Amino acid sequence: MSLLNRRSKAERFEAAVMQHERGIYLLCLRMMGRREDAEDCAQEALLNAYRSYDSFRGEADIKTWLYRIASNTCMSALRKHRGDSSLEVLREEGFEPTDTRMPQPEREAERNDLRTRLSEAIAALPDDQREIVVLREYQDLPYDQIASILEISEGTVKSRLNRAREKLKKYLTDVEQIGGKRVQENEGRQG
Amino acid sequence: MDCRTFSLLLDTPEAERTPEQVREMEAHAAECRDCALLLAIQREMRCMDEEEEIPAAFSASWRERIRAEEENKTMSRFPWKKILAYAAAFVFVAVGTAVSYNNGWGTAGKTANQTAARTTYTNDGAADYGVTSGTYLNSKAAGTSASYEAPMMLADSFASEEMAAEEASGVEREAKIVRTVNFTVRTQQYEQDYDEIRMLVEEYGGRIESLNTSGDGTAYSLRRANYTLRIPSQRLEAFLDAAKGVGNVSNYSESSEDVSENYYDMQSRLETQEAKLQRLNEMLAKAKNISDLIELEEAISDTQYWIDYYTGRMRGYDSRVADSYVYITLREINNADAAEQKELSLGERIVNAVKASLEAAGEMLQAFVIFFIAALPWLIVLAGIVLVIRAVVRSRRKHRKAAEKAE
Repeated sequence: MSLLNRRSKAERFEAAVMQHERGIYLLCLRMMGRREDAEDCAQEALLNAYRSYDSFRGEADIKTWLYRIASNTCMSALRKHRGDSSLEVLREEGFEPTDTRMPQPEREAERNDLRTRLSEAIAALPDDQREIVVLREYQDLPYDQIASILEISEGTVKSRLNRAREKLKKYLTDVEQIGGKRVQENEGRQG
Repeated sequence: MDCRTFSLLLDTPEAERTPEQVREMEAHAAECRDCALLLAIQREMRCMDEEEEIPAAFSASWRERIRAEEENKTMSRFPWKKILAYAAAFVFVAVGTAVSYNNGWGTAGKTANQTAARTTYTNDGAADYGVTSGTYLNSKAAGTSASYEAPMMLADSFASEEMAAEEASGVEREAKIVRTVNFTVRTQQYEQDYDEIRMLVEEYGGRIESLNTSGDGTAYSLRRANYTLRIPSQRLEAFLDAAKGVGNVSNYSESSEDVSENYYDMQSRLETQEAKLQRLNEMLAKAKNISDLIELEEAISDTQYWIDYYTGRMRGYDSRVADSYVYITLREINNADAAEQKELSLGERIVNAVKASLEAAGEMLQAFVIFFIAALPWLIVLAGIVLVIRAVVRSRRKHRKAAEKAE
């Protein structure tokens, strides 16, 4: 038995997963929207991965394998709490976009505003589109790897991503327009 | 750069974009509002992730959970359930087989007439009567000593006669010897020797006073017969010679008790009492008043009692002297014992040991088969119950999984 195999399964798993821990957590965070849910899902995903680690033969990239498990765990959690992730419900439950903890000096106010709106827009996306946006835009993964993680074709990845981008653009534009109108109305009242 | 090229570059991982491509993308974004938004989305998203910190609690928590899981798995890796199931099955089969074996089911029919411990008691009442009743009569004699001494006048008159009679009878006395022999016969041909001892007893005019047998002839329950024989003393030596030839004799012991003194003392007392009785009867015939009659009647009664007592004791002695006691223990031995006895060679001993082992194994197997067949109806019922429970559990599990999937 080699020295590597003599280590416990937990140790071997930890060593293999360590460099992907952050990515898995962030994937769950963007998918779930709330940090508490993200932590739960990421933990569940890692535990599921650990349980089936013996069956992982290394045929696929471990990152792909781990992300697939994390993605499935998130989708499963979202299905269980269907409706919870709608923007309205999230807001009712005190949803806070993930970047609001950032300090808000004046020069960054505009940027933070974009992030807040972006988080809302992502949360409003359908689950299957959101996971592709997360993998592509956040994680910067190529199409073939996303296709491999989600076990769908690259064409499906592209089409879903395009639809998701359109929705994000529309959401952000609408919010901007509404915001602009409000500013004009306020200015009119003041004038 | 047009929007299509911009889109293609947007889908290219950042690390693969050249600085030139990045500049061109920014230049296009400055002119195209849609593309500018897409670029801003992508950049903001990546910035958001870069600035996000992993909660320390999460990092520690998942590691803790997998370690806990590993520990639990290590604990549960030992197959307690399997071992318990096998142990239970083993105990069930072993106990069942042992019960079957001990009940003699494995040898039923084969040695049905020998399975149960059997006692044949053919006590000769007359033989022991003297001994047992002697004890009884002694106590009775003590209890009745007052009435016996009451007619002192009469008793005194016979005392000198008793002594005279004792002296007169001690002239030529035959020695009264009670012989007792005890030995063990070890044999591999139990049944044959068992019968042979009985035949020898008959042949030499003896009798079996008691016979006690045990064992069923199996490897773990070898047979044994305890004989209590009464053999005419005159033919005892011949009988012993014959009996010793039955098997291998061991633990031989012999004792002789000289009961002459007691016997002849008893005899003289008896004669005195008989003489006394005769005199009393003569006196009774001549008695004239009632009080004498009553006193004589009582004396006659007591005398008769002692005559009976001495007669019984003497009969007992006669029996013990005439028929010696022979205690024989007939013990069956197995091949291994036989090998030890005969000092066989190593090879023979091994062969005998293997034979004995195979015999035992065969008997155990028979006992197991019989137990299994006997327990079959119960096993079928038990299997039915287990299958039903299993089906119910599986069905519930299936429904639960289906419900989870549906969710």
